[in-house]
Amino acid sequence: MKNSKKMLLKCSNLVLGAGLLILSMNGYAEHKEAAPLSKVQNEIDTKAVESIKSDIKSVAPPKRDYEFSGVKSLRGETGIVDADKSASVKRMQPDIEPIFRNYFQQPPMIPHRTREYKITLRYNKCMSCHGWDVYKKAKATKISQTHFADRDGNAQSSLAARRYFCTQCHAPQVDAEPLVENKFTPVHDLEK
Amino acid sequence: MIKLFNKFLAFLKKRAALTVLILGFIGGIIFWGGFNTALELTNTEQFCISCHEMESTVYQEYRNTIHYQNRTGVRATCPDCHVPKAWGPKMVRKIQASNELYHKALGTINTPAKFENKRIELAKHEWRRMKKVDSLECRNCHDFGSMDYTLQSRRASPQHIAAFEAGKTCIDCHKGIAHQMPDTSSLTDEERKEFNLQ
Repeated sequence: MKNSKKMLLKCSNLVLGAGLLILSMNGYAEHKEAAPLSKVQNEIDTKAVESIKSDIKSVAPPKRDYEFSGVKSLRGETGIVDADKSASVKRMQPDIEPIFRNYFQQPPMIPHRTREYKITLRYNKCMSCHGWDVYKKAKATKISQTHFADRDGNAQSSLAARRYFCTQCHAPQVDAEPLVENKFTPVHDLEK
Repeated sequence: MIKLFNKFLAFLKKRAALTVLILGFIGGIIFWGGFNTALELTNTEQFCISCHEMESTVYQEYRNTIHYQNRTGVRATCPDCHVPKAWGPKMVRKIQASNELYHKALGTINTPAKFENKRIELAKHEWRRMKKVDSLECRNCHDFGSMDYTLQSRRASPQHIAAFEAGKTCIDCHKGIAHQMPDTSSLTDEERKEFNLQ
């Protein structure tokens, strides 16, 4: 009984040893084959680049008779192979005072977070504070009277269907700077 | 060691009542542990959404809300809001929930359209249950005794103070926060008053 166990152990050791040997030999062979190939590839690459460079030198740069306008691609200065910088995360504005309007007929912007306020076919969460039946109790701004008219100007008894999806015009704000610098100022009557 | 065990066995043979007690004690621990493990297994989100009825409707809606995804990474899963923590009420709720198995077999809400038709009824059940226990499952985490009103937003702070003074509970206002609101147009005036809806 004991003898057979020893034999088994020996056998397994042998098999393991043989396996390792084969593995290492394989690895060595691969290494040997790979080295010369990459060398050849490098040589070809450098040759190709050099020939292109000489071509460029032989052609004169086109004469420019206009000023460069400074227009950049959307990627900016980032090269094609470089990874673009990720945009900074914009934070939703927390509850703030009502936001002043910048021009007449501008839909007022939403001065609070709206993440959990869903507007679905079944229910409009905005109306649970801004509706005419609750705005006083909720101390909220009531929706404009214009929102009760359908597209033909007929007055409706409740929020008109075309005005149902509030966030089509009214948007919550993030702490973002204007994308393009500008000198826009609201008209006198709307100035803060 | 074996001798000692044999001696112990002989000792037990003379005292049958003690044997029964000891066996009962050990058996009880194993049985109770097993029962509790199985019960807790039914109290996981994975188990809850293992039926199609939930996974394609209420679970999808919940995934867009703050109780699923938020800045701190704390998550309230299904049982945190829908199953009481205390043992007694938990067992009562679990037994009530077996009604869901019956309707699963009937296929009462097995499509989104069927679910939509039942949404108001299901919501009413849960609103009533929450109201009855004073929104206990909310208060397990959001205890209004520990709320700092000065840290709340300028709209939330006065609302909370007024609501608690008026004896209101969380669910009176916070409806449709983890799942979407049902169409409330079918509610009667009495029900609107009951659920604090306009």
